[in-house]
Amino acid sequence: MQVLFRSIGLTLGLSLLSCVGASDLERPVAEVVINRRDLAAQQRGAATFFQYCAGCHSLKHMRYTDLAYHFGWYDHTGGADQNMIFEYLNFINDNPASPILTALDPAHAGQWFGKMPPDLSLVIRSRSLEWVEGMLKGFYPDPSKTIGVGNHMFPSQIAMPHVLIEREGWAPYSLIEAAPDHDHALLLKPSSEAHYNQVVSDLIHFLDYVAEPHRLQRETMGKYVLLFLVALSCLNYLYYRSVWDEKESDEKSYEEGGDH
Amino acid sequence: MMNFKHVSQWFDERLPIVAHTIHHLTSYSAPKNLNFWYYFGSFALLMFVNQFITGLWLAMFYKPMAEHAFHSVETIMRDVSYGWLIRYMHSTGASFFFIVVYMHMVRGLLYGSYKRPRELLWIVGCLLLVLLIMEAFMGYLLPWGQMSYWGAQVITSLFEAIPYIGPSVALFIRGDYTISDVVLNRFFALHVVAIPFAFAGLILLHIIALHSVGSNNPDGIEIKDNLDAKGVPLDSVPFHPYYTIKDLFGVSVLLTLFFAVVFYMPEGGGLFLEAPNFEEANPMATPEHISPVWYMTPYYAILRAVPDKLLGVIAMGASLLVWFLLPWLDRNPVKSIRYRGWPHKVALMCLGISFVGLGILGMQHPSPVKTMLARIFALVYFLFFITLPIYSRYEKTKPVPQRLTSH
Repeated sequence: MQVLFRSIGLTLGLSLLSCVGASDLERPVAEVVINRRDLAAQQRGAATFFQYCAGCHSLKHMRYTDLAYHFGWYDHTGGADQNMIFEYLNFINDNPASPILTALDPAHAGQWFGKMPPDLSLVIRSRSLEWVEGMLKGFYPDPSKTIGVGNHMFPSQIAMPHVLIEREGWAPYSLIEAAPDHDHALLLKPSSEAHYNQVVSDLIHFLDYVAEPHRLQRETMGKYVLLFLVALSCLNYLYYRSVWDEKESDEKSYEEGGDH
Repeated sequence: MMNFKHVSQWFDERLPIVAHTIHHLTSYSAPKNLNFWYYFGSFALLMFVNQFITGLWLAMFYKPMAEHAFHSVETIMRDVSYGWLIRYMHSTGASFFFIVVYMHMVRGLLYGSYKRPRELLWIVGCLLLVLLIMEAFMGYLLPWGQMSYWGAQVITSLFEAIPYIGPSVALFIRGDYTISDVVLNRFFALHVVAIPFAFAGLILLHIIALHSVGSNNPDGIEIKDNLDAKGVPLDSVPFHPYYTIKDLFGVSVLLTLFFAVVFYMPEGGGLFLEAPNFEEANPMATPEHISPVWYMTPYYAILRAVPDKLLGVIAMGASLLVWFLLPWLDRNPVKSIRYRGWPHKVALMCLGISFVGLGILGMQHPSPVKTMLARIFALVYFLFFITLPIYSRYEKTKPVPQRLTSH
């Protein structure tokens, strides 16, 4: 038996080695760590999202009311607090129970950006935390591009302007365009880096929640289910051993009896 | 006064299903030394039941229309009570089904369970594998994500490689010239009605065949050759309670692993739920890298390893169909690897390495080195089946015991 396990282990090990040796090393990206219980960060992220992103990007798999419940915005009847929804989330006067859609007209989007900006409900899952962070921090001034910026995550062309340009501490677009020699180094204010990191981190916290709202519930529930199953496995093991040991001791005594 | 005994007697006189089932459980004589590898048959049955029940609930909320499919899956994940749990159990269940079935097959290879008198048992098992792959392939289209769409596009277009009739065959399978709402609808019908029905029927045949020839065992000898006065094999124990209890323990361990994945890594590190599938299918944008789910990648790697499309499709089909021939390719009467000679041990190990190697390569972007590796692995994979009839005839084996050696 042991030989078998060893040979299987060897099989797997060899095949893995042969393939890892041949695989391309992906560009190393620092892992983004977030705290999924940080409600304040998610709320700040939501504020940034609805001020800067929701004009073009929808979150069509998420409802305003579900966000309100998650943020703990209840009214006196126990329903979602509509005042809070209209104050902080829903600037386009949609039904509070409706999915979060953008007011941007797809035809206009086609004219302005070449395509409709994508829905962001699942962007954290279809890309990753690291990708979204890299993209939000990846803008650099590039006068050769029609929108004045390039992005490290989109080597050829990004259709999206740097919406958070002022939050990152750059001069506004108008100044960049007006600068005669496009001396971009002057336009950056490195002192604001910590502030922008916070903005991006909050936004990621929020989008991560939107990508899988039941994640915390899943992880909490998982603990109890696994605890139960581990206990059940132990009990079943004892039961299994007791039945088989009894059989084996019976057989032994039968064989001993047979010797007489 | 009517009591339970009367009721069950009334039934058994008219429809002896209950008595028959109990009879099959209690008086089925199983070898007494079935080890770790013998868990996977019952695990596979459990995974089938899991897929059936969670699938039934998913079908209550899922909308098989191109326009709504992706959104309806997200609705299940968010708005349906515990919909996320049901969906993760189904998606994780698919991968676990394959893990368990592959382990079940490894067992068959190690102990020669495909040999006389179990050839039909093995062939029904191979049919189940083919059906499982079809079921998984069609189910994978239903979430209507980018990988669903493009994976189906690539695989259905393979049929176009068949000379003359290829395009008509592909058109017949899809019912359309490209992957579309039409294809989604028919794949849904096949995924939830036709294939599960056929699958359940074949499982029944698999069990009937097993119970008529009896289980093989790690020693690979026939326990029916040594019977006691009552005609019960000497080296056997009744399936119930001995193996029902053992399987109960195994099942609780399997469920612990299964739910650890469901609750803590439902994406399976991007292998069970792939990142591009969280983006809705878009016929206008091809993903950077299209690859099937991990359990299909060995066959896919074989397809890619062959430079010619038609030959590649033939090689891929052959890599699966060749399993059906195994009982007749292996000419050695000794079943268990415990008593086989070194050529078979080496050959099995090479088969294992090449299958896993192909599986890993099939997930990755091709490069010249990887394509070369895939070709070597594919060659080794087929060489196993080609050389087996030759070396197995002349192989030096160890003496096989008359009775089971260990518990």
